[in-house]
Amino acid sequence: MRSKKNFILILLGALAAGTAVFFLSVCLGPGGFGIPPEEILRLRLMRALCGAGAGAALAAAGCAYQTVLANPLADPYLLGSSSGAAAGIALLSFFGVSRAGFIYPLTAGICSCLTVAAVLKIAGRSFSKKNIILSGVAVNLFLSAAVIFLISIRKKEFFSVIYFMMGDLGETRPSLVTASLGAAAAGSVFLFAKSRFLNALSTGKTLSRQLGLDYRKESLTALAAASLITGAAVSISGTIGFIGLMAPHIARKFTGSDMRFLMPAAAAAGAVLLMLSDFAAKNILFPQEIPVGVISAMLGAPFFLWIYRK
Amino acid sequence: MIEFKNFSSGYKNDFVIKNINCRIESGKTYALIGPNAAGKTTMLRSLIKDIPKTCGHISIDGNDTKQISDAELTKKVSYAPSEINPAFNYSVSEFTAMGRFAVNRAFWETKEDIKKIAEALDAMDLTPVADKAVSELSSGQKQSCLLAQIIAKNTDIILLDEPAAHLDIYHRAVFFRKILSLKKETEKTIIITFHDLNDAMNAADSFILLKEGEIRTVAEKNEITGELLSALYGTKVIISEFRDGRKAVLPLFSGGDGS
Repeated sequence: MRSKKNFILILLGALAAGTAVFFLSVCLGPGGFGIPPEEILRLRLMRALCGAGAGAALAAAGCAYQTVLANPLADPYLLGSSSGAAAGIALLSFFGVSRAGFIYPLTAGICSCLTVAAVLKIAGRSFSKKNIILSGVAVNLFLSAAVIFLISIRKKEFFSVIYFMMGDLGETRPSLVTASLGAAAAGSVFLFAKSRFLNALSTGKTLSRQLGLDYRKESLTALAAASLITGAAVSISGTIGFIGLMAPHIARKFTGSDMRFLMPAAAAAGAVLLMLSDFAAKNILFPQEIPVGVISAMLGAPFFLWIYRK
Repeated sequence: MIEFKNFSSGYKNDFVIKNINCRIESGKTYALIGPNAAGKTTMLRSLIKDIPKTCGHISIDGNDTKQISDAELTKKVSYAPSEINPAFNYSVSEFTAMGRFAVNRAFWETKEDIKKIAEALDAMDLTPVADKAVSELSSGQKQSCLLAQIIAKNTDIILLDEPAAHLDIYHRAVFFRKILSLKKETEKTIIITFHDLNDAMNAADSFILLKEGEIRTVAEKNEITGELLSALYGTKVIISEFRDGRKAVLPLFSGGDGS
């Protein structure tokens, strides 16, 4: 069993890795390494902040989904949680609600919760791994189609939403970024504080019951928190797949499965993965930019198949 | 003491356990036996309130379980299913430590928790594999790991659901030796469901015979006869007694009434 000393080491390692990649993504650009001019520095800082925050949040949500559903394939994207959040955001944009403050992360979070509830309902009581992923994919496709339908009605205004659906860390409105990162951080801290509950939940209904847990109540609470976190992340990053799948699995290699150690390491891994993906998205075809979701999917899809075959 | 009073339980439309009445004395080991689908697992899981549909009462030391909160009930009763397949690679010590979560829900384990976890690992001979993933253990070690979690939890009542179902003779012997030493060292009430009646004869003090959701007999080990078992299982069963008083149960697959 790992000790508190291990915890501090993991925390320090996670912070060091996150800070190093944050620093790199701010200082390294097509013009070489160095502190860029003020205007570019501001944009890069905002972008790195969104990448780190959204990546960490998606990883925390992924940890919770995987643990509660005892399903190594669970992830905010594959469960349809991200698409639900994106559909909520598309609806707000459709009705012309301004992108500021808590309204976007809150709506996205609620839509994400409703989508996960629908996916689990469709998957059936057994919560079988395959059923959940198949239901998630079906709901994902339906919601993506619904968003594209909305886009088709108002082509001009919705061009930015198309880009958003494929992942975009270019959000610069401070009130939206602050509100979203604040909500994601609060949700993640809540889940982290519940680490031992999540450990017990991962043993399944009967064993967690014999550990004295109200399985239904605790599962629903954790799933709701993970969905709200996903909503907050999606409202500043768009739909980015597989970060919530890859980060917990990478972190598990170093920390094991105890959530007290796993969650901070996974959050750091998620932040690093998304910042690196964004760096690649900006620079591979420079000056042309690729949506960051394309890079994360190119990494994540083979990773998914590897986990599936294990 | 555990008491079932006019108790029924089951799922959706049907009761699996039907109106049972029985008293289970503290500090004894009971073998819960009966044919497949008799309701053995349902009876055990009813004790941890893990069955959705119930009627009647179960009391533990005079307190109705309906009036006991889940958090309190878990400090009195432990339940181990017949097998575990954790989805993630928790180490043996992490899995055992979960038992202490029932007692102390703080973010970190206390010194007392850590001591109990070490003792439980030691009692189950799991200290050498404490850092190994549970998923990498043999079936016998997995059962020991589950029992270590229960020992760390330290409840007065232990329910084991076919703990030896996947074990060969050697691992069965090792596992039940540990149960017997646990029984000798503590005053715990242990209820075990069995399909292998020889294991039951070796490990238990008393028997609860269950068929079609109803209790047919509650008897001491020396009161169990071939006739009782034959009637319970619907096939000829004989009990052979050795000179040292130990008994062996033999189902007759051919010849006699069993043919």
